[in-house]
Amino acid sequence: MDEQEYADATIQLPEQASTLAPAVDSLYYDIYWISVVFFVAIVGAMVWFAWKYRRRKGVKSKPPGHATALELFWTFSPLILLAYMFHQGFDGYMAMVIPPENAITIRARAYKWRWEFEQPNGMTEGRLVAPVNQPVRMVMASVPNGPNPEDAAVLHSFFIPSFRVKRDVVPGMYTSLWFEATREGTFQIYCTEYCGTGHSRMLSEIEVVSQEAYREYLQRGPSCPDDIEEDWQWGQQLFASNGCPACHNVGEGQGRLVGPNLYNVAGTMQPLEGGGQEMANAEYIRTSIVQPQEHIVESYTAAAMPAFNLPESQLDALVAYLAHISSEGSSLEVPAQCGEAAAAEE
Amino acid sequence: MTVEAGTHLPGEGDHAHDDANYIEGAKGVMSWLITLDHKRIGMMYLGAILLNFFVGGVFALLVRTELLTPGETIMGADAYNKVFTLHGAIMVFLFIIPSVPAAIGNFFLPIMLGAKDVAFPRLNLMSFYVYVVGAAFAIFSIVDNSVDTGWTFYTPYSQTTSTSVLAMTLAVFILGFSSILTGVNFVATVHKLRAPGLHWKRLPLFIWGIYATSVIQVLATPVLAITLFLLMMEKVLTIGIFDPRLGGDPVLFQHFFWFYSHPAVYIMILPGMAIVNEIIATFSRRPIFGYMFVAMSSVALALLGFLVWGHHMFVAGMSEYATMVFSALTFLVAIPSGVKVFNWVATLYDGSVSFQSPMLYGLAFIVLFTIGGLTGLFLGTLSVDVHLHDTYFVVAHFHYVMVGGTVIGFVGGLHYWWPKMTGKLYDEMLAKIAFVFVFVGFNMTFLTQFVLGSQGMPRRYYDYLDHFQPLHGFSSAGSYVLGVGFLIMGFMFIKSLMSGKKAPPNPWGSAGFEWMTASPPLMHNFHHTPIISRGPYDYHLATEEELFDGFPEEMPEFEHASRGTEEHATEGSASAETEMEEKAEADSRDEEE
Repeated sequence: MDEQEYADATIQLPEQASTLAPAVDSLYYDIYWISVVFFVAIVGAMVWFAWKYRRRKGVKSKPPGHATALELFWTFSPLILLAYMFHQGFDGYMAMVIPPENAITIRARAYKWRWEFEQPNGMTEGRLVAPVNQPVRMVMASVPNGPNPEDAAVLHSFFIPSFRVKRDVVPGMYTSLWFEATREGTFQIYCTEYCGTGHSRMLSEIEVVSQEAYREYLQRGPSCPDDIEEDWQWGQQLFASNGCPACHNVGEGQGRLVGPNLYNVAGTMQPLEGGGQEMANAEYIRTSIVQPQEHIVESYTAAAMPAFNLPESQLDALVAYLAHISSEGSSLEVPAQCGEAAAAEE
Repeated sequence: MTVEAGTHLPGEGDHAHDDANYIEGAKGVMSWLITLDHKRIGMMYLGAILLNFFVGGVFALLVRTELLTPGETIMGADAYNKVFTLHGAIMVFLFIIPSVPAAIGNFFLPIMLGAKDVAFPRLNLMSFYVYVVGAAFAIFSIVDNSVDTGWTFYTPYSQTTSTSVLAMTLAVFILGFSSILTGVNFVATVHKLRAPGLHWKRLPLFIWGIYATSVIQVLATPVLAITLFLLMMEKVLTIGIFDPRLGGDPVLFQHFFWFYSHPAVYIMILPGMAIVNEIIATFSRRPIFGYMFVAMSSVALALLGFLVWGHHMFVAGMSEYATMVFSALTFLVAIPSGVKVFNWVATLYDGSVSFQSPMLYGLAFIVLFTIGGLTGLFLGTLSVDVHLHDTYFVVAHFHYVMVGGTVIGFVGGLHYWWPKMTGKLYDEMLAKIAFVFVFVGFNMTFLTQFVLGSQGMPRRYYDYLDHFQPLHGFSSAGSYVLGVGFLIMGFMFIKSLMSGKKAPPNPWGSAGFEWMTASPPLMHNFHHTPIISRGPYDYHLATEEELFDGFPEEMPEFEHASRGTEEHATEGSASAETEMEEKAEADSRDEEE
């Protein structure tokens, strides 16, 4: 996503892609210009006085007289500007916390370290698809990765800069926010509350589509997008949108993160913790996604990975992707999901 | 008339005092380790604090180096999380909070009050050793497994991480007591040990600032102790307080934590402001404009500081009405902050301004604190804060206040009082070169981060998207310039210690009380308790030559009054003071002849 495409992106703020953004930005720039005026006045006066009254022989400093009126003036007159900022800010904030009545609800679940989004029809994916010009209410929960204490749920925060919305995701309670996207496109989602090792990679994207496309998406379910030809390409996309890169490197020669590097894994023998080894075939990879505790690779004490309940078609695509980045990957057999091959199978 | 005219030191001949200064007055390591002298304790604090500042600074440079490029630059994610946590924890708890009060305050508060020492010298020494024990726990935690929670120890992450959180919270818990002891001591000292004639309206503004700070330390720090104690109890005994798995509430921790840590922001910034008052007055040769307004603004900040903790939690899941109240109160903080800045600028007007290194830091403080304060308006505004919260905008904002404010103020104070503390002059040229590096480097580092933040770059990120790289790279480059500035400064101070020229008692020609004793000060600060009959900024009592060249560099020969008046402050006796003033004036004329 390149911000420079959008005409309303400025040096200071990203593009405005929600109904809430213009009000926030206009207040931001009000405060900015008030600050600029004060800064120039204060620093300008300081430099001017310091230079004009610089020390010169024979010139004595004068003791200040009483200036109570001046003191009272600059003590109380800024209150007017402060009251303006407070009022506008509170107004805008209330608009952010009260969703319109026609808002649809999408649930967000935050794991260490990935986002999972559940559409109104129960379909769950790692990427967020939302309709344009339709209020969407996000109801968010922080979910533990597993029963172990170190897998407990922690704080996260859901942030879409282009929409100017943010809300912490707090274990033990639901929090919510709402937005109405004003243009189609893909926008970045960040986690902005520190949550540990994978915090900076706990990213996702929101894909804003037309209302017809959204309806179609809900009906069709999580199948391969039309513009993708190869299964592994879809798998690559899913790998990113499900937050896998937070814990797994996939580049040749890159080290391990929280989990193993997945380069050259598919189709090779994997040494297991506690001895023995197993062939990383399609079944092995599918199990490792759906039930991460099943195979624990050597030198890992326990899988910190949450279970991913992905649809079969997406699991196939992910297997295809891992096969693609492995030199032994061609030995894996998976049903085709994308492009002409998939059509032929049907 | 000389500026010393209004001041009397009573009683020669009734006591035999030696003229040894506090450094040479006693010899040996033990004479330092078990000293009760506030100046020596202040110097030991200063040494410890500067060491921590160095360590925290190294961590800062590691953070900036890692952020030069996206992905792994010099360390992995876990190492980075530890490094940024240690940078924050060391800088906040081991450096900034004790920096001005415990080091410079300890040294100068009693001298400025005309006292021999603080009210409770043994408590003062104990405070130092409590600090050392706290620091030892912090070091243990770092060596053990370090901490990766951020300096805020937010639950439930701090309950789930396998790093050495317990030792670090214990360290902060202990450091808090050191802070409380210093605060109690200073409050008592200001109330009870002011020299005769030093009534509240004559108090140096440095004292007003430190006094307000001490009040916060005494009132707020126990809450931190309680919070961390609960955190430790939860971790050790699994009592459910903050952990939702045990029926606790993670947001409660944030309330508790910021109930201390927001006032702590004022524990950090008020002393910086306090120093700037002294610097601006001295180098403008003029009393601070609106003295009482500036003094009261410190008290107002101290009080308001207790009421705004919720502005750290606008998106944390607090009720909308709570956010409304906290936002409104937060804006009120702008008033006393503005009052200070306006009065400092007005002080320059009609002054006689010189630009020696401490003054450069004083002026830099005004510029940087103004930026820090104004950017606070964005964050106090609810709807705008939602966008900027937990981004680099916040990082830049608080660095402008904490570094651009407190650290610049502290460093300015260090330059200003260095000749008094050590008895050595430093290389002014080198000091100015260091200043330029620090000022330019700081702004390069953090001005950039405002833009990063408003563009949406979240804080505490080990890795970032490629399009942020140019700004991150520039910010890191700025941090190296800043680091070089501090290295030059360190070299300059060490050079001064090794081979600096001997400092005169009053190198800047200040009218402040602390300059009336020798450099370095005598063991008991003054031969006899001074009787104060003028304010600390009464430059109108000085001659034109003195205002241009500075005051005479020989120790003033004070007129000695009888010892009877020594012990009690006689605030109301204006006529007695005038009498003494006249007498002194006659005396100084005699001397001149």
